[in-house]
Amino acid sequence: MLHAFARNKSRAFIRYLRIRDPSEPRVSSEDEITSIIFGPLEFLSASDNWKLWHLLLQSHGSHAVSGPIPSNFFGDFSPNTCTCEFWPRRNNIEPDVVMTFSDEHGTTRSFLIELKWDAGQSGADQLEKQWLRYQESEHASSLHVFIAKRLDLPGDMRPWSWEPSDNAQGSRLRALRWHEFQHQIVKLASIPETSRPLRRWCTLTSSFLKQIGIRPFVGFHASVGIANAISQERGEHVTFWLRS
Amino acid sequence: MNAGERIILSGELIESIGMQVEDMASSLIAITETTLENGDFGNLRSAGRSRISYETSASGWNHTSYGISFPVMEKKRRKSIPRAWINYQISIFGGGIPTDQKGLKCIGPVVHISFWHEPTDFDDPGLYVEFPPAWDDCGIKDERLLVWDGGKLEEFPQWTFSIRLLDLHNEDALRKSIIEPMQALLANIEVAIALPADLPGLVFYTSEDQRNPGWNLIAREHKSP
Repeated sequence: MLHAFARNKSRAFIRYLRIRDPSEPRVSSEDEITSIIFGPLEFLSASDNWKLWHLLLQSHGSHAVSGPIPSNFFGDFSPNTCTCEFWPRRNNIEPDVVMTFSDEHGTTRSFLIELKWDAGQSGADQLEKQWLRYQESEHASSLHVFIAKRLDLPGDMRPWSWEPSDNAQGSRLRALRWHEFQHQIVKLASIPETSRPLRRWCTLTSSFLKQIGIRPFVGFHASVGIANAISQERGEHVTFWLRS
Repeated sequence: MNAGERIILSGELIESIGMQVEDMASSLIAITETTLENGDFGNLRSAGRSRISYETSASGWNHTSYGISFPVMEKKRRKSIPRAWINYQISIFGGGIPTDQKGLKCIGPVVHISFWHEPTDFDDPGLYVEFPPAWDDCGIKDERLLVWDGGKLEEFPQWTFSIRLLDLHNEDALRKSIIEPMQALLANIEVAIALPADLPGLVFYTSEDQRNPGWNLIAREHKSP
C-alpha cells in the first residue's frame, strides 16, 4: 500500500485520520499501520534493519525520554540474519512485532515492539506485563520498544526496565514518538551510505506518515504562496470573510 | 484574476493554513513534552495530558484560534495535580489578533505563549488572549511581556508573550523563539535577556487608556520609537 499511497492511487489512508466509512464500523488502524510500515522490513537485509533500529533508538529524542541505552547492546554487533514476527502470542501476551537478529556466532539481539496510534496503553501496566511475561529469559539481549503519538509513560519505570543484575546500566524500555520516528527516517534517507532499499522504505514510509498527520513543522511558506497569488487588482473590492 | 478565482484560492488558503497550524501544533506538543520529560523547564514536570481547545468563527466554518495547554507541577510533588499551565494560543484571525492598530501595520497571525494558573478556555473571557483584552490587571514589562501581579507576588508568576507566525519557519525556530525564552523566563532571567529585541517574531506591546474600560493593547513588530 505504501506505493499506492505515494502515487495517489488510493486515499484509503483517510481511515487513519478518523474519517470512517459508516458501513465499516470497526477499523483496526493500529494493526493496519503496523503492517503497512513494518511489513516491508521483513524483506530488507539484516544489516539494513539493524542500521535503522540503531539510528532510531540512539536518537536524542529517545534518550531524552528513556534515559541511557544499555551500553553493551549495540556495540560492534553485526547481524547476518533477521526475522520479523507479527503479533506472536506467548503467555497470553501479544506484542505487535518481535524482531530477532543473529550474528555468525549465534549471538542474538531482539526487539519487542509495541505500537500505538490513537489509543493509549491497555491498562497502566501494559508495557510492564508485556516485558515481564514475554521472552523472560531473553531480557539481557533485548530491548522493549514503544512507539506512540503520546508516550504517557508511568512515572517510574526503573524497577522493571532496569534489572538489578543488569551490568550494562541503562533502560531497556525505549520509548519513541511517531514524530521522532518520522524525523529519524527522513535523516536516514538523506545519508549517502544508506542502501537503496532502505532509503526507498524511508522515503515511502515518511510520505505515508505525512499523509496520516505525522508531519514536521516547516513554516507557512505554502500559505504565503497562495496568499500572494490572491493579489487584488486596482479598483476591485473583494471581501473573503467578514470579521465580527 | 476574477472574484470567483479569488474565492476558490481563499478556500484553498484556509485549508493550507489549517494543515500548517496542525503541523505546528503537533511539533510544539512533541517539543514541549520532550522538554518537560527531559527536566529542561527548570523545576517543572508534566502533571498530566495536554488539552486542545478551539475558538470557532461566528459561522462555525472555521477555527480562528487553536489552544494547547500543558498541566505542570513541581518535580518534588508525588501526586499529579496541576499547579500551573503552559498555554499556547495559535491565532489566525478573529479576536486573538490585535485590532484597531491606529495606523500601525497589522502584525498578522500570532502564537501567544502563556504561563498561567489556568488552562486556555475560549468560553471564559480572561482565560484566553483577545483584543481588546478582558483583563484590567495586567502590566507590561519592557514592552514585550504581559505580567500579572507585577510577576512577583505569586509562587508561579503569570506571564504572556507573543510571536508572529510568519517568522517561524521550522522546528528550530519553535525552539529558539518559543521554548528557549520560556526556559529563561521560568529561570527568572531578566525579561530583556529572555526576550531579546531581535528575537525572531517577537511582538511588542504598549497599552492605551489602561485605566478606562475598553482599554486596548497595541501590538507592534518593533519597539516603539
